[in-house]
Amino acid sequence: MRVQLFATCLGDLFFPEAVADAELLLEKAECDVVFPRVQTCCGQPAYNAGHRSAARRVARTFERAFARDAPVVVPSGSCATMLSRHVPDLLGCEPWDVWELSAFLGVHGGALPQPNSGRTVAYHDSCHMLRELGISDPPRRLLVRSGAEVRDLPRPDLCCGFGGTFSIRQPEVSTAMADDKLSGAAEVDALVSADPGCLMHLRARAARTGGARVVHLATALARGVDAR
Amino acid sequence: MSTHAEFREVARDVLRDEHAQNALATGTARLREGRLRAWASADDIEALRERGRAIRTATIRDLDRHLDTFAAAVTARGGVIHRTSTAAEAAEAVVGICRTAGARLVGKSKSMATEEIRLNQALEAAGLEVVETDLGEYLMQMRGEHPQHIVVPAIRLTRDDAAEALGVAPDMEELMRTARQRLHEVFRTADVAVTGANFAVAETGSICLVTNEGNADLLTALPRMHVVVLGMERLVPTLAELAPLLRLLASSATGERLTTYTTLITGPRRTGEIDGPEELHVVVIDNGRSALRDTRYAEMLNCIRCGACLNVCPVYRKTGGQAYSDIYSGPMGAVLVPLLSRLERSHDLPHASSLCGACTEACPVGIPLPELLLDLRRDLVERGVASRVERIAFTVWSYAWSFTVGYRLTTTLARLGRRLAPLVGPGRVWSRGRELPTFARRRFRDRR
Amino acid sequence: MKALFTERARAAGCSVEEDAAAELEADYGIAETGSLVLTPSPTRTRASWLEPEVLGAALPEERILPDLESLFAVLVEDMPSAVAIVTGPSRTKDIEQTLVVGLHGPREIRVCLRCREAPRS
Repeated sequence: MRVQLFATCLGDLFFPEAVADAELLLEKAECDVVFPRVQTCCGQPAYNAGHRSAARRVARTFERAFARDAPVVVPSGSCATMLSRHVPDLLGCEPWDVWELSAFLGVHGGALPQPNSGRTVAYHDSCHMLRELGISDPPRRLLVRSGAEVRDLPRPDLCCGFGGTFSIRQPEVSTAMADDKLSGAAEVDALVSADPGCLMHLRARAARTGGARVVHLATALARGVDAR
Repeated sequence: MSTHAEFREVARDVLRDEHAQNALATGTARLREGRLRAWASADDIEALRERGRAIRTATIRDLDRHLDTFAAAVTARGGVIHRTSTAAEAAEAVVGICRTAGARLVGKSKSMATEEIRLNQALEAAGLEVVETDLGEYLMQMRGEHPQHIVVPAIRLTRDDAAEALGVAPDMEELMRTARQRLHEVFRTADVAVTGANFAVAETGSICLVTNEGNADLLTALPRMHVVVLGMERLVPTLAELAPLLRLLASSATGERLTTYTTLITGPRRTGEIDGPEELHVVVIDNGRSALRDTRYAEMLNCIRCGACLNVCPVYRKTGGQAYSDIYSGPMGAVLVPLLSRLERSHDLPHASSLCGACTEACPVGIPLPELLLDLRRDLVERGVASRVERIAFTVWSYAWSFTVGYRLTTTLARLGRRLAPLVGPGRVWSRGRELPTFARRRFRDRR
Repeated sequence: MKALFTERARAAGCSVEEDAAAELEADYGIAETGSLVLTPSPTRTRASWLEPEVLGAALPEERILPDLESLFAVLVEDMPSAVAIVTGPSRTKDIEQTLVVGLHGPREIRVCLRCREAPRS
């Protein structure tokens, strides 16, 4: 099956290994992965901040880059939400067949490596992925299949505090929310997230406070939670 | 309505208060668990929520007609209707009624509508004494504070705080005895009872009040006059439609099947009855509500003030109520306060959310709060309230990222200039509590 | 209906007995919620069900209605000046979310389903 990979801006710029891992997993699932070169960003940062025309301008790059004849796979819960829930309305265009990575692998994925045997992980639900796309089981099931023991976070319903520009407008509240999330993962080998936004924020806070190790789901599945 | 332009500042203080953090985390968690348990034990909670949403939507759509029916029913039962438009007008109306009655002491049952019109201040300015009779609200009043939560106003207070407010030993028995004594004195001696209304039934002209303490019931039994401050959107067309809303309110607010005292008041006391008010006045407040009915934000009028959205909100959990406003807080407050006041005065509220969506999931009538917040953010930009710098930044960014060459150029520059990032703007704010993310030396696109 | 009323009234913190002392007689009971329905009259004040520390209320079995809707259907034609639907004793959780009963109204409610002696009011 041919699939189109959307790296997302955060993935492209900050977590290219995670995107490469996502590509690897898709190839293992016998997908023919294409990477449309003119992609940039879905426009979410501007959209969530209220700047609709700026968001529209950027979202058009997505429209130019991606065809509608093959699934679009996104290693980000919130970008997948933006693309499936908001972009078609914002641009007044036809929707794409957008899949968040773990949901896609849950349906189309083949055999997985087992790099996480003997490892305990906690999975952090990205809010949009959990509540707007309703995806909560696939990432957990994939982690179990990768050999990991998946433990529950104390309050899995709570947001990690990223929230796009919220992290800058309310930095103290934002980091306090991250601290709660990180302290809930103190006993596991890694906190796994399927969202580069959450990942960037949690990792940045953990780096400052010496908190839990935070890993993208694609990396955890492809190379294990210990991968560098 | 006054609002805070300093959400961040207030939040910072609350975050430093370890005791407040514990109280908020445990208080909201218990309320949330209570709701979840009650919802799980209901016959078909999703059908009930859908029914509630449909009733609220239909009522708001036809509000003028229901208000007329209600007013006629109240009048027919011997009550007096006062329709007001602004908050000041509503407060003035209540003050006028109390003055005419020659009142000195006003007893109150917790009401967000009266907070909204700043009634206590208005009554006190007119020389009246005002005492809140809900325990939590009474404690907040003693401390000179505003309610922190629309259902549990004293959510942040400990036993010690409560004891200090009452000037007694921090012993629960002692606290309760003292509060009971003082408040019963108010029930006995107040000239006027002022309450809000959880609902008002149009067909019968009834006012529905719910409390767990029973304070509204004693308050409306003993004083000779009862003044109801009714938000115009609290109407329910028929008694039959009230039933599902009562179930939704009780289960969502406090996790109960029905609030302990659910009381319907229809007109003043009747001939031959021994207690109950001789006069019943209903002051209907608009205060910006009717202007919302034909807008994108009409659904906010469906809110039944249960507080469920506060109890699941990760931001409220950290900040408590005070950061939002003196009145409404949490997700519903972040939407409602800007709508009822001027957007300019509460521009930080639509942004006081990570848009996690927990509120919508918990809202018994399914108000799409994050979407309303997103639209308010859009309004802030389109009406020129958002800062110039921010608008310019997003515009420049959007042009640059419209093309891959612009995307490459700006991100290369950002990578090269990363050392400067902690010194300016967002990078500076971000890096105060977090490390700055590192740009990969090669983007994903460059590796292929 | 009686069984459901009993279960729900107990869950709400009332005691339900076949035979107990009663100060007053409830107008109705609601099985769905385990509530007592009380209204004022020329011989009964609104304060009468709030002031006693322990409230004994007679509730003849046949007055138990299934749910709120059936109560409202009975009342709608001629609404009393006040209808109190009382579900358990007066309670507050305002301080530290700790349950305290009897702050304003009764701390205990005893429902008597088959009172032999007529209540005083």
